[in-house]
Amino acid sequence: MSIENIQPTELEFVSRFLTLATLSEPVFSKDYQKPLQEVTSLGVALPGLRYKYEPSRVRKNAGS
Amino acid sequence: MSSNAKLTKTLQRFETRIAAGDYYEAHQTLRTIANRFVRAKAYGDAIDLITEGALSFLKVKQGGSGTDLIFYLLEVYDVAEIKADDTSVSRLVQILVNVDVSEPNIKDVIVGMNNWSVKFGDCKFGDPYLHSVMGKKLLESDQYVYEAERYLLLGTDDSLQKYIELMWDWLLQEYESNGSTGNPNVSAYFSRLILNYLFISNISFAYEAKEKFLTFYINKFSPKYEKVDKNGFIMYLFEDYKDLNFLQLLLLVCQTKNKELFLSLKRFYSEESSKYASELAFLGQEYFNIVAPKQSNFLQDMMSGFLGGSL
Repeated sequence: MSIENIQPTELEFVSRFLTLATLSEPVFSKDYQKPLQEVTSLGVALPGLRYKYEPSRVRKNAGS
Repeated sequence: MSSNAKLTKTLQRFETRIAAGDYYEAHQTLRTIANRFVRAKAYGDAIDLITEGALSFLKVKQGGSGTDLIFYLLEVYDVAEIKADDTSVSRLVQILVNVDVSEPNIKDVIVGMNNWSVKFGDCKFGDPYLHSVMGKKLLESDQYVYEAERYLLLGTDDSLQKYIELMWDWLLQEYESNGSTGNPNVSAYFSRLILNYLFISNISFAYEAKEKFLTFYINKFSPKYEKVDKNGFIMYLFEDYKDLNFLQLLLLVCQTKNKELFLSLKRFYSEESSKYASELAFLGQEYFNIVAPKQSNFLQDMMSGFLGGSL
């Protein structure tokens, strides 16, 4: 097996990826949001979740 | 008598009838007078009268009459071509918060309001402030959670918080229904927040959702993770949840619009890429100009072959 075929570990991949992705200023800043007036598509409809939500079981403390 | 004085007098008579529990008479009288205003093109007076009437009915739990007047108000908005602005939207918000969630036609009321804001507003999908209230209202009812999700997504800062809470609450409900054992199905909920906000290019809300939702998750379930801070990008690298790692990196790469990085992310996380194939195809087109391959239509391809590719 040649060295090129060795898959990096996830930690190695992430470390390299983060370095490359943060080398220069991103095109969109962290606080960018396209104005809703300009939104023309909602993307892909996500599949329904397998568990049926019961709104009546309201939690008072989200995150608890 | 001035139009304003006439309106005040009508409202007084109306309120007297409501107080006496004479709802049918009150409803008929109000509609008759509102009709006169509309015929005279005194739309402002008609709108004021119908709004007050709808609110009065809703406050005394006469939802049928209240919602009938809401539909009438929307008709007048339409005829008068009322633009979706602070005043016209606030009026609907004020009415909507008073509609009882058990009202059978609550969804029709909401759809009617949204359709008006689509027609007379600047947003293709409707007004964000209305969406925020609509999302919360639908969540209080027991049957429209996906519709609520859609309105919350297209709402304001306030609806972002509600959307995060909804996903977190939903996750906990599922976990409890499984006897509070095993691993929670965390990526199913986290992915909705990240993907939906990326679909509409709301990087800011995707970041806030990432931070809050993952903090909830870490605090509650104490998963094994390492916090990585790279040039300001904070990532929670989970030992047992590749999905969560992938989704965080997806957010970052969409920010960069770097096609090569996007493709390398897809290659490394091949399992996750298959799972989210159609979502990634959309994001690929939206952020990286990767044209999604056309869906093959077997019958059409075969006919095209027979006819020398002329189809």
